Amino acid sequence: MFELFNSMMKEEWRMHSSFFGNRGFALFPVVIVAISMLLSLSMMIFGRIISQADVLLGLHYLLLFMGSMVGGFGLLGREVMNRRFSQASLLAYSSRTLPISERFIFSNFIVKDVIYYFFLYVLPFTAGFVAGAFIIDIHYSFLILLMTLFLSFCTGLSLVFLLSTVYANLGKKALFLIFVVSIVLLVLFQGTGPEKLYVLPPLAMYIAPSVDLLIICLGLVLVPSIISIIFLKVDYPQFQKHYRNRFKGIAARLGFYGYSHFVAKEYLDLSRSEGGVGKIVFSFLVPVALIWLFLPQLLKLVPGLDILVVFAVVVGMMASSMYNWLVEFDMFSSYAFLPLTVPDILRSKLNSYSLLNVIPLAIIIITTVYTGRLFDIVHIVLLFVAVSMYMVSVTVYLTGLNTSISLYNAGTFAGYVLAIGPVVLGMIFLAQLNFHFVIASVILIPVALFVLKRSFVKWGKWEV
Amino acid sequence: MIIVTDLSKHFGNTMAVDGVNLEVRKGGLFGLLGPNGSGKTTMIRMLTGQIRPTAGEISVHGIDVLANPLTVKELTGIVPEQETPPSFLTAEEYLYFVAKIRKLENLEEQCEWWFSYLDFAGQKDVLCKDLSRGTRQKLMLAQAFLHDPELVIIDEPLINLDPLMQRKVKDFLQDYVKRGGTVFISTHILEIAREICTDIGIIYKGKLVFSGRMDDSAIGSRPLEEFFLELVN
Ligand SMILES: Nc1ncnc2c1ncn2[C@@H]1O[C@H](COP(=O)(O)OP(=O)(O)OP(=O)(O)O)[C@@H](O)[C@H]1O
Ligand SMILES: [Mg+2]
Repeated sequence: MFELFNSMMKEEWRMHSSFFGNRGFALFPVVIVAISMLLSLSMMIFGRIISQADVLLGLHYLLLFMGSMVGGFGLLGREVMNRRFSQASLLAYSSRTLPISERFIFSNFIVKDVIYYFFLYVLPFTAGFVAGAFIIDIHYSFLILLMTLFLSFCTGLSLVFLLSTVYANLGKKALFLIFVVSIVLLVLFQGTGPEKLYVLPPLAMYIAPSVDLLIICLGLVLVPSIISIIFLKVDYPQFQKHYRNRFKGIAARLGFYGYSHFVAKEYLDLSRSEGGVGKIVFSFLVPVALIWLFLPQLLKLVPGLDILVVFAVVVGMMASSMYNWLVEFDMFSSYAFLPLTVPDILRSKLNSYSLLNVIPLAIIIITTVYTGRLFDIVHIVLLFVAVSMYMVSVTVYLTGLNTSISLYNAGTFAGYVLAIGPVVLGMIFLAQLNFHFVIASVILIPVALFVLKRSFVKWGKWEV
Repeated sequence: MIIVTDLSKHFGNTMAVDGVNLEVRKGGLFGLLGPNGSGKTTMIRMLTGQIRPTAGEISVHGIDVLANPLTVKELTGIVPEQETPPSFLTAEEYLYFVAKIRKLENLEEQCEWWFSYLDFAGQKDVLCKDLSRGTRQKLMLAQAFLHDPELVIIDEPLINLDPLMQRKVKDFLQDYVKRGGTVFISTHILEIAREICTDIGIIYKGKLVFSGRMDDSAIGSRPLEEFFLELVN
């Protein structure tokens, strides 16, 4: 029974460590410790304006948010596994050849992932935070915090897991349902004080631990997960679907554009894989909605911050995760025998990335209009575009075509955080000094272009 | 057509290819033979500029592969060992995609010819991910010949194909050579080599242990298997 699980754990470890050596992967949590320690040390400065209760609130929601970002992995059984590993030789596929059920394998797969997330993120994050706080004489009970933060993470994960299972089963109808639910949630939380946010059971439990709350927390994690596993949809194609040749038409229509065939291919990849649209919804729209829900509360705590500025920056950062999906769709080896170079593929992915950015851009414009700040639209849009471009250029430079796996390398991840953290915080800080300083973000654009140019040189030398 | 000088490739401690010297003449059907893990795929990946050798030189079409891998890939048709075409395009769309990359126009006829010759017209509108392995191999073969290259390099051309299709591919390759093309294949199936190759090279543990004409006196009329076993022992 545990054999499958054990081998999956080993497989995951080897997959990462064969990529950049045991050390690069094993040190990843150390980087997380450093970051969260810095975060808690910063309470020295912000401690005056932020209460301890607010800090705890922030921590739990941060973890909830992180959980929700990765929860979509339960999206479409096989397809997600496929996307995640882009190859078919892994244990997750062994149900084709071994006499074990899909559900069993998938449950193992999820538990394995959750354990990895625990050791890679939650544990080092909590440890770093508690240690940093200890230095400046703020004391948390480590074990309880570890538990409630982990529960918070799992709650986010299991809720999005459930949503994505509903989506997998109902298809587009579910999108409507989810849309309605999110509107209701938005209305429910709009304009209320932060009090309601303390309802989050893991948070409530940290503040006042009780068995009842523990049961609620566990229920919140287990019930959606179990339902999702029961209704897991694994699509074995029952019949071969036939498709009209749409590639020709799309490529011809975009013919004026040098990368038309790549755009056409990526468009078809996204629209034909059910997971494609789902990915946009669950790894992007749901987290963005959560941020929008949570931001007003956060901003009440840090007076003077401009909500739209923060939102534009955060959405710009999250937009760069779309680059990640684009490169996850295929590997360079499927182009290596064609007259193409790695920079060609990078450019084509960046083209598609720019097109996909229409979605976050629309979100930014809508929220700007919705909040009645039409006059600031140029500033906000500029800020978003600059951050998105800068983020993606750093991602490309550091990770090339292997984004999801490379970021687990301690060195790469540290470089990523160092390249992005100061810039992002700097932008928010500038805006706080004077809203018009946001215009300064324009310098990120030439910087991004320069970094991209360097990336093409760097990855041009790389070989599969 | 291909000139290889002192070519080596090491993966850590593995000497996948070890000091190979080889010449493949224009207009030949060259077969690179060797057991599993002997270095055939590694050779092919170096010849086609997909990986860089640890040491040595390669010239294909008179072009230095190390300096101009892109030009070599433009001029050559390549079927890699186990590459699956991108999954969400249909077979036909994939051919159009490759054509776009190779800047070719007006392919309808040529595509149709391949679909009917290799008998997969019924599958041309199915997503590559749902194709059977054999059909994928057919698609990869078609892809390599689209631009009518002078040289085609194929890693295991007949893999996953049924006997009827094997026959057709063999015929096609022989015909291609007759029309002036050059073909380089790798295989571990000796009968294929005996049947269609004009020249062979035998690679064993990364070393080229024989290369010459199929009618070389060293081989004589012995079964290729016997000759092969003699060489590798
Ligand atoms: N990327 C790689 N990393 C490490 N070792 C490799 C790599 N590619 C090939 N090898 C090793 O190099 C040797 C030659 O492999 P290669 O794939 O060239 O053999 P082959 O002759 O094509 O075998 P087969 O008939 O099974 O296809 C093997 O020992 C293999 O394990
Ligand atoms: Mg091989």
